Amino acid sequence: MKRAVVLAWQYLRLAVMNELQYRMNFVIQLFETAIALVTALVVLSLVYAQTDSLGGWSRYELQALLGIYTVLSAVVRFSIQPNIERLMTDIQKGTFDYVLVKPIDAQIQISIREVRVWQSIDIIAGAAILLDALFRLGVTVTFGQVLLFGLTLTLGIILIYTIWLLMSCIAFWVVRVDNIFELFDNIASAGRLPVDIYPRWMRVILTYLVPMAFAVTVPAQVIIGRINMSNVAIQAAVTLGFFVVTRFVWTKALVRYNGASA
Amino acid sequence: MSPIIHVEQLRKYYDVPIRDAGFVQAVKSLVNRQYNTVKAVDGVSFEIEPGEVIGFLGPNGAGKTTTLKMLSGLLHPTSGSCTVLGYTPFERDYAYLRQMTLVMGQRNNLLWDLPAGDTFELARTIYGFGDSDYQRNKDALIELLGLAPLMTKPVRNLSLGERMKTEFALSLMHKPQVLFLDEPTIGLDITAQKHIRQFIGEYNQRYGATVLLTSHYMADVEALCKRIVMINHGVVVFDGALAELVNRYAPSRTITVQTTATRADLALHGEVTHDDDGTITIKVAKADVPRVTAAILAAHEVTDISINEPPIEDVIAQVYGR
Repeated sequence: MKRAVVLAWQYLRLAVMNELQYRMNFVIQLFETAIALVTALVVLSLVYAQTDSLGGWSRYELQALLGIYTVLSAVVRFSIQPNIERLMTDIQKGTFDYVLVKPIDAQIQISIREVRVWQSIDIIAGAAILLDALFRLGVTVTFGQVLLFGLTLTLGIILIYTIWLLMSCIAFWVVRVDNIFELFDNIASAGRLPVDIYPRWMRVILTYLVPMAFAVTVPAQVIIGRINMSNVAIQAAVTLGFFVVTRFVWTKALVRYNGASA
Repeated sequence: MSPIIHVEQLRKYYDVPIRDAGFVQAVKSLVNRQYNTVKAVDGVSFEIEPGEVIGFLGPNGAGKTTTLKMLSGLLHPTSGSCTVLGYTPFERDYAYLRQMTLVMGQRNNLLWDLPAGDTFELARTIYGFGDSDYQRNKDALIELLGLAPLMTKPVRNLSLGERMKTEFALSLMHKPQVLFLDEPTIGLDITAQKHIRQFIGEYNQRYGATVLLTSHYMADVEALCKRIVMINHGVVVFDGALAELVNRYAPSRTITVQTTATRADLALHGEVTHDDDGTITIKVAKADVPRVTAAILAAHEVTDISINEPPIEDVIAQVYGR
């Protein structure tokens, strides 16, 4: 495990060194972030010009949620997505073989190799939106709340990671699965809004099938002070469940890759 | 000494979907897919002693790469068994992976945009080297391969030959005892091929490592391998010394004579394959060589005579064609 942490740190260092060569990417990313955030905030203010509450969420509560959503989706683009994409191309090109001949867990290896450094701008931007929202809501946040928020956010990130990996395991059976990620991207963007505002059937999908509700809504509830411990417990249980299932499917996928079933 | 690699009745069958060309067939195969069983490796057996360098030969699609992949733990055999260093490769025991390496000439293992030295640092963490071991292994490889000037250049700026040398250094950082080399010299120019070849030989000498090498370049095999294992259609067709292969499968020799005799004179003894201003080459059955040579020397004035085996490529092509 210690080796895995050192290795992840090395990959991050290399990615930083590599990306520093391309300053233009930084400018472009800054620009993209600005446009995305301004659009989202304008839509938010337009909606709340018509109504005071959406599914029981006030304007700035929803802005806090938007901040968390921004942070999480930036984490996806910062690390999760590039690693999964690398896994896909490795499987297609056969270079995945090099992962399997190294004496370190294959799942750990494929999860830490890629980092898109400039995506960290979005993480900072998301955090800023969240802080602004909390300031405008005038809530006081306790230390315990911050800890719980950190925990639920981390669980959310792990949950999203396991879902991405779970889907990419399909690549071991069917080699081209790029379209699935687009579908997932679309469903995931539903996490931009709290699950409470969706109709019941959609809420079920978002909660149990693609548990964005747990990834985004639970940390938001914690930080704005609507703590519901049973939600937190369910989030932890769902995350653990997905993690175990993903590990199992991953192991099966490796078996499939080396043709043990044939 | 007991064998370091032990392969017995190893088989690997793949189910491959088949369909005829055309749109209608493509739709049909979506619903009702037909499979064909491809016997990539079909009962291969051999043993390799520690320190041997084996040329693993065969035409494209013979099952060489599939066998190497089973030996390096990437593929699970359909049946049969193989053990390397006492381990069953597909269990991918880390203790096994630390002692072997796989180099594939057609696939890149270095980080493309960064200097090779950075990828070396990653290998150091993956294999968990201490500082002094890492430095010593790295220095030895850099010296052996002449890599010093290449270490600081981004990999994408290296030539194919330079990159392959660097790949070798990376793949051997952990001083593996068993090397699986799948066409390591493919696409390289003559000089680079020669460098890689020399390096493999030196590494084998210095560390007593066992090497299983596939290559389409006979120069690699002639320079490095005392023994060859040849497979075709998934079965071993020859296992023995290179000289023996030539002996067994090359039924003819060529006799080249510098002489005053005419082409017609020599055509009595065998097929004339070359005639150039008094230097004539004829092809003669192996068993007839002593008799023909004596006859020519007795009947004609000869200033020079030499007897040659056919080129190894020709012998191998002949075995493949059987």
